[in-house]
This record gives sequence, C-alpha cells and structure tokens, in this order.
Amino acid sequence: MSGDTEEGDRRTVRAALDRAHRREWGAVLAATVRIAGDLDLAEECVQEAYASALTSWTRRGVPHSPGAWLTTTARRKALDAHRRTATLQNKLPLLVESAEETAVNPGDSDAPAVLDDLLRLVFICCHPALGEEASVALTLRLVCGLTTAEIACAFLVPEPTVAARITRAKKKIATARIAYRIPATAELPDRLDAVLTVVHLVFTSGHAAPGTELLRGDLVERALGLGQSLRTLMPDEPEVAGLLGLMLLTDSRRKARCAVSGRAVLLEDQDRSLWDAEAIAHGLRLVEAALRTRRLGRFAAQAAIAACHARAASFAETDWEAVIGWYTVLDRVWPSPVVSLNRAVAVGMRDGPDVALAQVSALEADGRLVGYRYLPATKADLFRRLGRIDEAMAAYRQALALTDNQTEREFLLGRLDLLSQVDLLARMDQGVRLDRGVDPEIGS
Amino acid sequence: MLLVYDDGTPVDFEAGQHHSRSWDQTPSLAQAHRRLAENAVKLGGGLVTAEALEAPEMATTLRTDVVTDGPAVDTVDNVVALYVVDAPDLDRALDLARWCPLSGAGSVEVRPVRSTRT
Repeated sequence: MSGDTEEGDRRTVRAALDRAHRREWGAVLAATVRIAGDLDLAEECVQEAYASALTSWTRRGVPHSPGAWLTTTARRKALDAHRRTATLQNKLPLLVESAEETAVNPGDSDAPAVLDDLLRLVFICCHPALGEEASVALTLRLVCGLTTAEIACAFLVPEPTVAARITRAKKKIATARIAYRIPATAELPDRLDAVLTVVHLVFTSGHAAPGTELLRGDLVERALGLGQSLRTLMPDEPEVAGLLGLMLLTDSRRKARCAVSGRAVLLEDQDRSLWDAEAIAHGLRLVEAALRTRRLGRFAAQAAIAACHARAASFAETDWEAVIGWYTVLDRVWPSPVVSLNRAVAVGMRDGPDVALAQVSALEADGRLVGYRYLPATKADLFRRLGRIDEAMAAYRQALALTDNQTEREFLLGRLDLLSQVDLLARMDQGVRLDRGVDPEIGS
Repeated sequence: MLLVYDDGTPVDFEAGQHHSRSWDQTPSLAQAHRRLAENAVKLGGGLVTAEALEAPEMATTLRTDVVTDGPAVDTVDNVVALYVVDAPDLDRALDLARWCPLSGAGSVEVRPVRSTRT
C-alpha cells in the first residue's frame, strides 16, 4: 500500500468520523446511558468509542453503519467498566427504568428503541427542574456532542461557568432523581414545551447575532438539527412542526439579513431574491402540517406569521390582515405584552402609524414593558413616520440607553443620525416625507 | 420532602380553596390532603410524615445561642406544612406536590431527603 492511499484512507476515516460525530453523537450516548446508568460514565465510554473508531476504521475500513458500530463499542465499554470496578456504588446512579431491558445485545440497532432512547436523553436534558441555561448547555453537550469550550465560545460565557452549569445539572439529575423516561401523555405538553423552548433558545442565540462569528452560525445548524430530530421522533406533535417551520422560515432569510458591512438589514429592506427558496418551501409545508391539526400552540402561530412574510413577494405585498390575525391567535395561546407590541406594529402597517401609536402608548401605560428596549424603538419609528421628529429622537435615545447589543446600537445611532439630518432639511423645506416603516420582525 | 410555603393567610382547613390544576373542582384543603395521601400509597411508597405547622409568629429562633421571637427567615411566604413522601422519581414527587393543600398563592418546594447510604 502506497503512502498516498494511506493518507487518502485516513482522510476518508476522518470525514466519516466527523459525520458520525455530528449526526450520531446523541443517539450513541442515549443508547449507552441505558447500560452505564450514569451520564458521566456514558460520556466517557462514547468518547472512547469515537477514539477507538479512528484506529479500527483506519485498519479495517469504515463500517457499513458507523452509528451502530459506535453504539455497540460504547455499550461494551460501559459493561466492561461495570465489570472492572465497583464504582457504580460510589457514583450517583441515574434513574433508568426497567433494568431488564438493559441486557446488552451487540449489534442491536433496533431502530424504535434507539429513537426512544434519544428522546429520553432530550427530555432529561430539558427537564424544567434544571433551568434553561443548564438545559441549553446540557443539550448541546450530550445530544449534539459539543465540547464545553465550544459551548462557552458560542454563548460568550467563560468556560468554567459552562463546566459548572453542566456538572451541577448532572448532579441534580442524579440527586433529585430525574428519570430517564419519555413523559406520560398527561405531562407531555408541559415537558415538550420545555424542550422546544431550549431548542428555540439555541436557535435565537445563533440567529440574533448577525454577522461573522462562525460558531454562532453553528448554533443555528445545531438547533435546526435538533428540530429535525424531534420532528422524526414526534411526527404527530404540531408544536414540533411549528418550531421547525419557524426556524427554517426565519433562517431562510439569513443571507439577506446581513449587509456586506456586517450590519443587520431590516425585513423591509431585504433583497428577497437572496432568501433560501428551498428552506421556505420546507418551512411552509411544516406550517401547513401544524395548522391542519387544529391544535394551535405558540410555535405554530409564530411560524404562521413567519409564513405570511415568506409568501409575500415584496414588503409592500405583505398580507397584514393575516399577520394581525395570527398575532391575535398568538396572544390568545401565549399572552404576552411583547406579542401585543408586535401586533401593534402590524396594525400600524395596515391602518397607519397613528393607530399603532395609540396602541403602543396604551401598552406603555400598563407598565409591563418598562425597560423593554423595543418599546421606545417602536415608538420612535412610529413618531418618525408621523414626522414628529423631536419625539422620535427622544424615543430613539431612550431605546439606545436600554441597549447593549452592538449591532442594535449601531442601527439606532444610524437612525438618530439620519433624523438629525432630516430635521435640518425639514427646517429648510417642510416637504420632506418620513414614511419608512418599522421592522415587523423587531423584538420577535 | 415537600415543603409547603404560604403567605400565612388564615384558612379554614375544611373550607379552604385549592388552586392546583390537578383539580377539576375546588375541594377543601382537607380533601386535598387526603388525595395526596391516597396517591402516595398508589405510588407504592406512601406518606412517611405529614405535619401542618402553627403560624410563623409562633416560632422561636435560636441563633448563635441568642433566642429571638419569630421565624429564622423573615419572608412573606413561610413553611406552613411539610410532607415526607416516598416517591420513585422527581416527576412522581411533583405529581404529589400538585395535591399539597394550599390556601392561595403559595408554593411547594420538592427537595430530596439526603440519602444515608454510603
């Protein structure tokens, strides 16, 4: 065998291993947890399995089903670990139900069982008793196979903070006896909502920061991957379809959201030819599937709003009537003053900024949105469109004082700058019009 | 361990309201208590301890050998009752917590009892 082919083989193995890491980590770990009875031990065994795959696959070639090979290897390692030591008694055991099922069967790749284990892993990572930050970190680590360093980097948090969150979460799972189980039908809606919230949080963390950071884009990919897995695992849950649809439709605008300068581009100003038509088509199919069930939840309603934007050939052709209708639905299934604020913006697009301003002022008066930066930002935009420049500038400054996100600060400063120029012009010529719209996406 | 916290509004144990959505009607606190006990038994464990406490103003606190009047932590919500139940996992314990008698806006803290196993 020449050196060249050896090098080529090594590259093939590396690529297969990377693919297996991306796609199968969670499933391999989920199946190993059952034998290990402990999350830490399971993680160690899966890491070792991936390490031994490198040597074994280089020598004997990439197996037909890499995932099954890795699962079998990791489970054997867990069994060996149990045989070798009595550590199980010292470790905090994980609550794995029905011990008789855990008899290891090498080469066992019973598909439904594997899927069920993956679902158990997702539900244990996203148990509401863990708190959202811990759930996000634990899901990325255990289900997606990200390292602590990668998670820390993606969320701009110090690595020891992430490590501590994960350690504490694992300890709580064992100490508080959180079961490795798919929730019963009665508890499913609440538990599923917690899972979807975590996946959505991973998505928005990646999506909210437009621009250059690759790892942030990776978060979007991970969230989409999780959404797709959940869709496969729970094909009948409308909220799962709704969340995946919402993420696909939002992400379809990725290329159009960011100007060459790195600045965010408002929905209104986006070049719609840059939208990803394939993602939109997929997203729209999911929204329709979710709506057909007539069991509407918050993610399906949000996806329906995103679908209205995706269907419009231009900003001017947006069906604001439908957008407002879906915001009304959203406000009913998931009441929130933020939803009311977004609805007011859509009303402004249909009925004019003065109508919207009245609604926004009413919202401001009820006090629940104090300190919420999109409220003054929305008001500022409405004032601007009404030509009330002094009030607009005051509101922009108010929003600026509440914002520490750099991209948003630049946007607000840009608007202020523009207004002060317009103000000057307007003093010279009363005919200047200020009729540019508010970003209906803002704050969503 | 289920620690029941409440704001100390005096309630009639037989007529009190219960706000958990486990209920389809609003039973008395006494009924809630009985259902909790029954469900604990159904889980195979049962009720180990169940005690309702007198008002926090009746508490006496000992801190570094100084005795003072009142509860140790001065908060709106105080522990008003405690249950020790035998539940196989957190979800089952939370199911029981949903039946804890509460007068109104109170809450239930579910805390594992430290294992004496070494």
